This record gives sequence, structure tokens and C-alpha cells, in this order.
Amino acid sequence: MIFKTFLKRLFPRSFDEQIYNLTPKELIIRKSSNHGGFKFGLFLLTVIFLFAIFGPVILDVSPYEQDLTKRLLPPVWKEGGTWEYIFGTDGNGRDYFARILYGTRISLTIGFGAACVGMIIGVTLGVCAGYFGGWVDQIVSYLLTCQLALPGLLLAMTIVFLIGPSITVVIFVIGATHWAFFLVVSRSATQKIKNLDYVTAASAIGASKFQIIMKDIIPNTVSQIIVIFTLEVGIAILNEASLSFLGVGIQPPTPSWGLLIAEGKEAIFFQPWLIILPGIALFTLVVSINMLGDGLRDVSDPNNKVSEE
Amino acid sequence: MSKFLTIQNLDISFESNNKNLKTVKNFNLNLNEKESLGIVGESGSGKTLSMLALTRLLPKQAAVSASSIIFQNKNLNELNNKNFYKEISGKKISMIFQEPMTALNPVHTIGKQLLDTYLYHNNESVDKGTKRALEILDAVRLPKYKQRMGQYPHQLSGGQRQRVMIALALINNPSLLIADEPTTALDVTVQKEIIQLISELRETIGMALIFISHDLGVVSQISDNIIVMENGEIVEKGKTSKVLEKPAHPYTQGLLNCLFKLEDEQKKDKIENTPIIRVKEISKSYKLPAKIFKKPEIIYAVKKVSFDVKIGETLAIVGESGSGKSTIAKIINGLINKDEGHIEIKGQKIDNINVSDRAKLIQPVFQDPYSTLNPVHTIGYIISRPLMINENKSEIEVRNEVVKTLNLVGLSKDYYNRFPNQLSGGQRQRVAIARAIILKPQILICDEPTSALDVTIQSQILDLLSDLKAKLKITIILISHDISVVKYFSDRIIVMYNGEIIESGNSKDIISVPKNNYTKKLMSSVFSLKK
Amino acid sequence: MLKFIAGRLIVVLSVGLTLSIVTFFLLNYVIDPAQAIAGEDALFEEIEQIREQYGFDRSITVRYFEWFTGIFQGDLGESYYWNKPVISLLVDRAPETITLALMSVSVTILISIPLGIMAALNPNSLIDRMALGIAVTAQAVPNFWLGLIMILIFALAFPIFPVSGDKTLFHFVLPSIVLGASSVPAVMRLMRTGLLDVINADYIRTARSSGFYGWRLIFNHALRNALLPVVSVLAVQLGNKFGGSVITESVFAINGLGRLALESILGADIPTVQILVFVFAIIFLFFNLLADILNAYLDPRLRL
Repeated sequence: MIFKTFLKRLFPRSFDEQIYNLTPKELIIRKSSNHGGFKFGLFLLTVIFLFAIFGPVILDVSPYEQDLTKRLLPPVWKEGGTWEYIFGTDGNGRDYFARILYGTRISLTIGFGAACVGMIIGVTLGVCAGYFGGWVDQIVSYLLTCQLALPGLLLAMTIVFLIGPSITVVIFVIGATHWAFFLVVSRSATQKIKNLDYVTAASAIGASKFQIIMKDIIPNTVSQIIVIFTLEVGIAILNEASLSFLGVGIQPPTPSWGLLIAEGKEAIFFQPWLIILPGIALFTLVVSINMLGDGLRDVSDPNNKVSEE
Repeated sequence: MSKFLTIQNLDISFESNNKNLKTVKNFNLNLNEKESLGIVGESGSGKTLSMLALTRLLPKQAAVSASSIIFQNKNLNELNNKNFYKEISGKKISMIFQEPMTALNPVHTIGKQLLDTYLYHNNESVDKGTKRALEILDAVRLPKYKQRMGQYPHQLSGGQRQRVMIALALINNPSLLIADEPTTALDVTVQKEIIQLISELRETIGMALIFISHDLGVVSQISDNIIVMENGEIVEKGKTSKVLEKPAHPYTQGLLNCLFKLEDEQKKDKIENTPIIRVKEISKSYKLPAKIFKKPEIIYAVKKVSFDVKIGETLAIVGESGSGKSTIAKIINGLINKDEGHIEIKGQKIDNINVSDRAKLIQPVFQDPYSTLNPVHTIGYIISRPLMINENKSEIEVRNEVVKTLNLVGLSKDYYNRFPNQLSGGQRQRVAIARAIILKPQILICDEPTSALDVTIQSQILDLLSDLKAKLKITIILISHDISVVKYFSDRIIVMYNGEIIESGNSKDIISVPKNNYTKKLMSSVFSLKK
Repeated sequence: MLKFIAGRLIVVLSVGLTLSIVTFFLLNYVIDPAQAIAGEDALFEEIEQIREQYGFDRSITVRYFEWFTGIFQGDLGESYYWNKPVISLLVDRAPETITLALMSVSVTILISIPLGIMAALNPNSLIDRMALGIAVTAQAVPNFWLGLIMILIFALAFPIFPVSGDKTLFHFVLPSIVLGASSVPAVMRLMRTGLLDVINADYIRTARSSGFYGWRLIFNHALRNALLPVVSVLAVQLGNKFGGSVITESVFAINGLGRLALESILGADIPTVQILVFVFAIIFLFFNLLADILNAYLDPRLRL
């Protein structure tokens, strides 16, 4: 990477002037197919998605069905475990594998939902602040300082607890407390782009402000926003888990991973798999999303000219 | 016979994407004591790389090999890095770079940086070091040099920083100074001063100089001998006067031709005497960000400027950066609002012309080919957009029009579906011109249209512009800091300084007999070839 | 410099004021506090009685002014849940959280700065990849889960540190590692990219062309530039640690402000919650201000 920046500085023009045979889209695809982390993250995330969508249908297991005669069965690799309950059962005799499987759906729904809410708020504010500047920018900066200063988790906990927890409430509360990153990135990107010659040229040919924002500015910020989006999905998933763990998020008996860990906490020294397994699930999901995000950042960075072979 | 510096068979290659990229091939150099050598070439020709290899400033990934490098009878190939840095770098061989704005450490004072460099190589007291630092700051003629020791780089102007850089390079009395495009980033009038300073210091200190530049004019002023490089190879070398008089290699000839062409004057068309644009006493000011309890400071970018532009002429507005020339261009184009005064285009006040009509009257062409085109759109879309916004035409009509315009700027219709990243700088500039002329405007405002391009491509773009001007009967306003371009291209010149017009008239008159002092300075700062 | 601080201070104060209004109205208007205290199944009469008893029947603006002016007289209100003045709760619990915040930021510094420097000096080496791995892992591990796993490991396998409570400084070691780990990725990446940028900067090339090399080059010419942004981010992280203490404190049973917040929320204790939200916000703003001032002090370009 540094080596490339060095070369770029030495041959500023010849490096920019490097003429590609490929369109920007083809370039990104080629670059990402050469990026190990990106491919790994994408693969893992796809597998998790498929599991979440089709797993419950194919395997036909219920996360809610209780069987008090089969409480706290160990997972299959432990002594006494059976293939019928691969991950064992919880304190109420529910199939732990089924609960973790259903938990994937909840994490994904809330992660993507909350990141969407945050993106809509953040990008709208950010692009407006960056493009119009002046007092609009000042008001948005003020909002940003307020947002950053508020203890997000604490506020989310309070609101979820007092309004009454449901998946929708959790999505909106997490989304509404996580837009700062989107705002900062889209604002600085917009500020940079609006001073570029092609935006000036667009207004010289008579394009309206709205046309400029939609055709010139937003398309050029998309790659950066997608990167933030993936990272925010990971953050939102962890946030939901934290809320549920503390008892102010998703409520039982819905199988949220954070909730599973909270329930397993009582038996931490006796049935440690009850907290280890959902934790690993959570970790795997967030790692795959973050690797995807990091990969996207590398791939979409124009300074990072990955090979064309 | 022992030479001061000889380099034999220098090769530099980079391992990039599993390909071995040879960037410098078989570079040879002989330098006498106190000799001044110029290395010329376009960007990427390997001129800087070969000197960075000599001073061991290349990154680890670069594979450097040379059959011998002898400096003052010492074989540098036998010196390990540690000893090289301790004995040679900054002590015997010093280097100055292009970017004065970033070449000094922003968090340390000028004094500390000078002192550090001195004490590192000399086992002396701080007092003595301070004395030496002051001495050298005086020698590079830094104004108010005594106060500068405690100042930080950001408190100095570009030219002043370059003086400090020179002081830093010379503080240990090196016997060889390598200057890598030391004036390229500076304003023309400052350029001249720095070149003179370097060449004077070379005399007084008695050191050798290697001067790297893309500008043949600058190099011819300062060097005894010249090396011309292209694509990592030396294509020509010899005495400066000889090389300039009888260039042997086609590449040198090409470089010179471009320069000579710019020195010639173009045949001028007849100009009608009716003005197409009248600018009357326009002003534009900016408020500096207000500090608390303080009145906001007002800076005039343009102050009561009036002029006419006649139909069919090329009017050049010249001046240094910050003189207000680009602001005027933007005001005429309607891209920023003026504070006072009025502008008439074809007898209509500019404020009364609606956006669409204005777009059909007047179009801009910008400097930087890399930001002038939106990277996410195809060339076809970029050129057709003015039509789609302003005219009601069918898809096929638009497409035909775009292809026609592409041909007009010298590009084939194959470019229609390409993206900007698939084009070279010169081609991008052609696309930008196509976008500007597709609405058939009567006026083009070209803001430094060629200054980001290599010399050979510069002349092609200028030719294209004059060709279009003749074909389409366009009036051109040319904004430039480059006097040679202006001389080649313009009928009349307006000289701006600090937001005001200080001189205007026929280009011939202004270039040959400038009246104003600043104009004189500006005109004399152009480096014509010294033979 | 003074003007700069004054300017920032005005922003901080006005943001603080806005936030006090937002939190107060959010917790007293959007949500019916009487209903919250009484619980979901409460009868209408019960709620009405609570409303009168606590004075919720008065206009919300009046109550806000009472509350806000009270803050300046040291009266932060009365907790319904603990039956104590909120101020005494704060004073009781603050030392634990301050200890935790300071120790966890120290953990962050100790891990991320050396790692970031080593990674930047040897890009693409084993240590760089390792650092990246640590960052990716730390970013994806849920904080509370890391805490539980630590408890599991240190209680069963290596009983070196106590896993619960807040009696001695030893009790704070594991919680600080858990809380500190969450800032490691951000700080380490910043350190790494910052130093890489500096090493590639023109002025480092200038220093190298003057003969400086090795550690002397890094320490005298590069490190200070690269540390500038890190210092201010660390100050901000320290401010963040207070709000972030909720999870760690409840996992490790530390009686600090974070745990107080959780317990108050679960007890629908609005006076305590609103003060805590406000206090955490003020702490964050304070450290942000500190970061700005530090930056302006350390970076001559920002000095006025």
C-alpha cells in the first residue's frame, strides 16, 4: 500500500493516467475477486444468510417447543450428547440449535434494519450539510455533537425499556442512535466532490441542484457509504445483543443471541456451552460482516490500485 | 582522470503485481566538480528516480543496481546504508524537492529543524549551531531571517519555505546539491528568484548542481550540460547549447518543437469590433470566517473590474494564483454571484438570462482533466447531458449529435461507452471540450486548459481549440498563468494583480513592451531558451 | 488560544443545555413517568395518585425549570427507587467508574500504541497481520461475552484475578481489559495509518535526505506528528468509557455509575436516569473539549 502511494507520488500523472481497459464496475469486481478478506467475508456471510433463511424450513425444528424432561442436555460432542440435539438443550428443554438458528434471523433483521435507519438519517443530513454548507452545515454539526455526546447505549436502554420492547422498536432506537458515522463520511465526501470540476461543469450546463445531488454527488459517495453501512450492521448487531443481554432488548421467549447468553449466564460454570455457542455465532457473523466491510474499503479506495491480472 | 561523480549502468526496477517493472535502464552520468547538470524529461521518465537511487531514498521494494557509483574517489557501492546516511546524506550530497508546502515538518520550528540537521552531522555546541543556522538563513535571503528561527513552516509563504528548504540542504556545506523541480510549485515571479538564488549559491559555495525539471526553458538557464530522459533511458546528453541547437534525438526535437511553437505566434483571424461581453465594475469579496469579538475581515477577490470581449477574439486574462482571474471566469459563467457591477452578454444583463439560455451561450473548460469528468458516467452520457437537460431531442438525435461532436474533438465513436478512467489526460480534456461545445455556445471560458498536461499534449489541445474556434466561430476567454501559451493563442491580454486589472492591450504590445512594473516582472520571468 | 477555548466552551454549554432539554422531555413527555413508576398493570386511580404525589400533574416546562435550576444548587432530585437524593447515589458510585475508565484507557494505550507503531514500521509483516487480526477480532467480540469468557477462564483455569466485585484495584484488572479492548481496534488503526502517512510524508523524505535514519528518524521526526490525532482520540475514548461502563460493570458486579444506570432503568427510576444521561453527556463533552484543546496545544498549525 505505502509502496503504491510512493509510486503514485513519483509518477503522479502516469499513475492517474494509467488507462484501464475495464469499466469502473468491472475494475471493482476484479479487485474484489483478488481480495482474500473480502472473498472470505462474503462467503461466510452468504452461508449464514442461507442458514438463516432456509435452515429452519429444511430442518423443521422449533425454538420454542419445551420438553422439561430433556432440560440442559449437553451438546453432541460432550458426554451424554445426542445427535437429536446437536447443541443440547437449554434450561427449559428447548432445542439450543434451533434457538441459535432462529437467533440468526433476529440479528440479521435488526442489524440491517437499524443500519438502514441510521443510513437514511445520516446520509440525508450529511449530503445536505456538505452540499449547502453555511447555516445548514452548522445546524447539522450541532446535531452531530448532540448525538455524539448522548450516551447511546444508555439512552437506547431507557427508551426501549420504557416504550416497551419489540423488534421494530429496537431497530428504530438503535438506528436513531447510530447515524453519526454516516453523516461524517457523507458530509466530507460531498464537500470534496462539490468542489470538483465536474460538478461546476454540471451547473454550467444548466443542471439543477437536485440533479447534481442525485447524478453527480450521491453516485460518487456510494462506495464509501456501503463501507460504513457494513460496519454499522456489525455494530448494530452487537448493540442489539448487548441490549437483550441486559434485559432491555428483545424479550423472552424470542431467541435473541444476547438473550441466550443472559439466560446461560446463570449456569456459566456448569453448562458453559450455553454462553459459548451463541457468543461464537455472534462473533462469526460480525467478523464476516467486518471482513466484508474492510475488503470493500480496500477495493473501493482509488489509491489502492490492485492488480489487473 | 578522477571525476567528481560517476554513475555507471544504473538500473532500477520495481516488483509490481508479479511483473518486473524496469523504470530506469542503463543510466550513466559523469559530473565534474562545480559542474551544473540539468536532467530533463516528462513525468515518469525516470529523472527523479535515478537521483533518489543515488541518495538512497527509494523504498525497499525498489531493486537498484549499478556497476559503479564513484563519488569523490569513494565507491559508494561499498558503503552500507548506515555509513552512507551518516557520511554522505545531508553532508556531502543534499537534496531539495518540489513541494515546499509539505517538505518541512509542520510541528517543529524552522530553527529546530536547521539545528537538528547541523548538530547531527557536526559535533558542535548549540550556540555554534544557532549561529550557523542564522548565517545560512541570511545567505538564502529569507526576509526577517532572525525572527524565523522560532516560527513554524505554516507561518511562511511558499517561496519562503523553499528558501528554508535550501538553507536546510546547504547548512552543512555539501559539495553536491540535487534540486528536484524546486520551482514547479511556485508562482512564476518567485520561480525566477529561486533559480537565481540557487545559481548564485552554487558559485559562492562552489558546489556541483544537478537540476531536475520537466521545463527545458528553466534547465537551459541554469545548467552547463543537459541529459534528456525518456521512459527510463537517457536519449541525449551534451552541452546545453549544443543540445538545444542541434537536438539529435526525435524526442528532444519534439520537446523543443512544442516549445518553439509556443514561442511563435499564431496567425490571427480578423476580429469584429462589436463586443459580445461587457463587464462593468464588477466586484466580489469574501468574508474571512469571523472570530469572536472581532469584525470579520473582508478580502476582495475581484475589485471594480471592467473590460469588453469582442466577437471572435481570444482574450487572455493572466496573473498569478490568487490574482482573481478564475473568480472573474466563474462570475461571467454565472457559477458564482458578483457583489457589485453588471455584466452584459449580447446586450442582455447576465442576471436576466435564465440558466438554460446561459448554458447555450457560454461554457467552461477546466484545468484538471482528472476531475473534470464524473467517473461514474460514460463518455456518451457526459457529452449528451447538456442536450438532455436543455433541448428536447429524441434519443437517436442526441446520439448522433454526440458522435458528431466526438469526431469534432478528434475522438472516434468507440469512446461513447467508455468511462473516464479508460482515457488518458489529453483524451479527457478533449471530452471536456466536447461537452462544452455540444450546445454550440458562442463563448468558451478556458481556465488553464492545458497547464495540467505534458508539453507535447499541451500543444495538441491548443491546436484543437484554435481549430474549433475557426470552425465554430467561438469567442474564447483564456485564463492562464503561462505566458507562452497566452502569447501563442491570444489577441488581447488583461493582466491582473490582487483582484485588479493593472494593464491591458494587444498581446503583442504587452509582451514586447510591458508598461507596468509587475507586468514587466511577469513577462521577464518566462524562461525562454537560452542559447 | 483563550478565544478558541471560549468558543468551544460556548458550544459545549449550549449542547449541554439542549441535551438537558431533550432528555428531560423524552423521559417526561414522550413517556408518562407516572405510568412508568406504577407499572403496566396499574389501575387508572393508582396512576392518578402517583401523578399527584410526585407533582407530574403540573406543566412540564415548570417541572423542567425546577429540575434544571435544581442542578445548579446541588439538588439533582430524589430517586423513587432508591429513596435517596440522586446526588448521594452519584457520589457513592462515581469512584468505581472513574477507576474503571482510567484503567481501561491505560489498557487501550498499552496495547494499541506499541502494536500500531510496530505494524506501521513493518507493513505487511507478520506483526502487521497479527495486529490487524487483533483489531478485527476485538471489533467483532461482544463486550459482555468477552467478560463472561474472562470470568470463565480466570475463575476456573487461572485464578489470578478476582472475577467479581470492586473491593481492590485487582478487581478492576479484568473489567479494564474487557472495556479497554473495545477501543483497541480504533486507536491501533489510527496509530498505524497515522504513522504510515507520516513516514510517507515529504518532510520525512527531507529528514532522510539530511541523513537521519532508523529510530532517530522515527522518534525525532515522525512520532510526534503521528501521535497528534491519537492523543485527541484517546481523550474522546476516555469520555466514552463512562457511558460504556454499563455492560462491564453489570457483568463484573462493580457498583459504579453504569450499574446504577441499569438498575435505575429496570426500576423505572426516571430522576436518576435523566441525571445519569445528562452527566455522561457532560463528561463526554468535557473530554471532547479537552481533546480539542490538547490538539490545538500540540499542533502549531492550530495555535491561534
